[in-house]
Amino acid sequence: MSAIVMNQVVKTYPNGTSAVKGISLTIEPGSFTVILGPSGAGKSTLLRMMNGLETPTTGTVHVHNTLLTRKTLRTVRRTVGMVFQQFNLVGRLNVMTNVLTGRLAYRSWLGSMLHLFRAEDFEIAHEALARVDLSEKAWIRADQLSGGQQQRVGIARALAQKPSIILADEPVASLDPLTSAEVLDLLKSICKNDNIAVVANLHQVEYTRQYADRVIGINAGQVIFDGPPAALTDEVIEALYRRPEVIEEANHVAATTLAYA
Amino acid sequence: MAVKPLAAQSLPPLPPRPRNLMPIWATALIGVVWLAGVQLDISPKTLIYGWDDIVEYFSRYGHPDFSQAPSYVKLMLETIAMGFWGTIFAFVVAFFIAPFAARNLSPNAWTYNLAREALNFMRAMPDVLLALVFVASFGLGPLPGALALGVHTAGFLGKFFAESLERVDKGRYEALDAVGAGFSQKMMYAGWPSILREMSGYTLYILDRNIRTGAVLGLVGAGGIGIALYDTLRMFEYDQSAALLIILIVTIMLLDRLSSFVRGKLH
Repeated sequence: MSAIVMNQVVKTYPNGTSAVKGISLTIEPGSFTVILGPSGAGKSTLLRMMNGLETPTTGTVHVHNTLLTRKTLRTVRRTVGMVFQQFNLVGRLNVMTNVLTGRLAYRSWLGSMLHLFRAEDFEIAHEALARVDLSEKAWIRADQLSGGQQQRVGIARALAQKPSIILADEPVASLDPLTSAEVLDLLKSICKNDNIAVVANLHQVEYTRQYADRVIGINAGQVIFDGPPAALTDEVIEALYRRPEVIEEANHVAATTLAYA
Repeated sequence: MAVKPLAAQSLPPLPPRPRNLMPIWATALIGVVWLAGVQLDISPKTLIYGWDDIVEYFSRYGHPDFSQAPSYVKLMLETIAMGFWGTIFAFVVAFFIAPFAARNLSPNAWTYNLAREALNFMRAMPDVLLALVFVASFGLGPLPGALALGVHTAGFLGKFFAESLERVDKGRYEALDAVGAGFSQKMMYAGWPSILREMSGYTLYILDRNIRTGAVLGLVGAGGIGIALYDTLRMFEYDQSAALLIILIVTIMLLDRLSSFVRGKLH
């Protein structure tokens, strides 16, 4: 059973911007897939359609053979973790509570109103925190942590969901190179040891070559490359990052700068 | 390359400077304010001629009489209690309506508009009028006063809360959506914790405001220190009125200290 199946997915925003222009793809369980492409290529929209944060204009998304609809949304999301560029923790709450939010979909709204959780949920959250090596920070406010630590808390929150898929939307775009490598190592080890499919958006080619099992190259809302990182030649990269209007503008800027030098 | 003097460089031309309409608006505003003053007969002359009367009138309050202080303090406590209960009522109502009055959280346009109009309605009803209505239906005493304050300020608190909830970073709500949390869980784990500081600030301000207004509501029979103030003023017992006013002012000052202390604790 495939983890995610997208069929002819199109996303056109109300303002007429067409972010994704008919993409079909299949994500296999336990794989580490990187969606690579320049900013504005539609990577984020594509990823966000995998857990219904965006609804496709046309086309379908199946997660574990369940069609994503308004009705199935919450049950599907329960087992799909998500990691964000800006971490999206609640800074005022402590690390433990942020991780425990990963358990909310398994609990009734009434039970969770008072921030009371079952012992088993604490155990799961504790495990998740230990996994990202932040157990000792459990009772510290999330906004007291460094960026890299906050992203690890974000990963722990995803792990607390006991997910079979983790979606990572530019997980290292706000981090320095050292922490970026730590976070990607962590995601990779989670993928391999826990057999969780990871789909990550990245814009750095080096990281993609280093971590991906499979690369999906996106530009202007279309898949223009799909294969193992070894097949990611310089020609492919060049095609992936080619943006005629940007190149033209760059030439123009260079010319004007020269004129005034 | 040698640096040329500034004048010798041919700088790229700036785009045309946008026209600044500020002086026109400012002149228009001053004109309107002046016209309003003329219309309402507000003139410095009246103020100067009236000055002696003002001084004379206030001098009558020069000898506060605290002989009945214990009963005044009791009335003051009643007013404080009224303000508290009004604020609690307002908080509870706002807590449940505000999420629907926040554009980014409301499930659809219909609930959004309904919630907003409900808050507008509550805000638009003057609390003195509400107190009159409630006194007529529940009888004299602090209960109708508390209710009147509660209904009126629920409209304010609800609007403040809704606006704060709208300013919370949308990623925080998305993170909760992404784990599959429901609406109320999203509020308890992303919305409210994110605005805790603003929330307590607004609530303390409303409490302060409700205690001050509560003192006035006594005038329409809604209990507390207002009734005593009204009675002494009507009987021209300036010494008693002065004592009551001093108790009121000191209470408000203490409350202000208390609320900045509490606010300082939350960060």
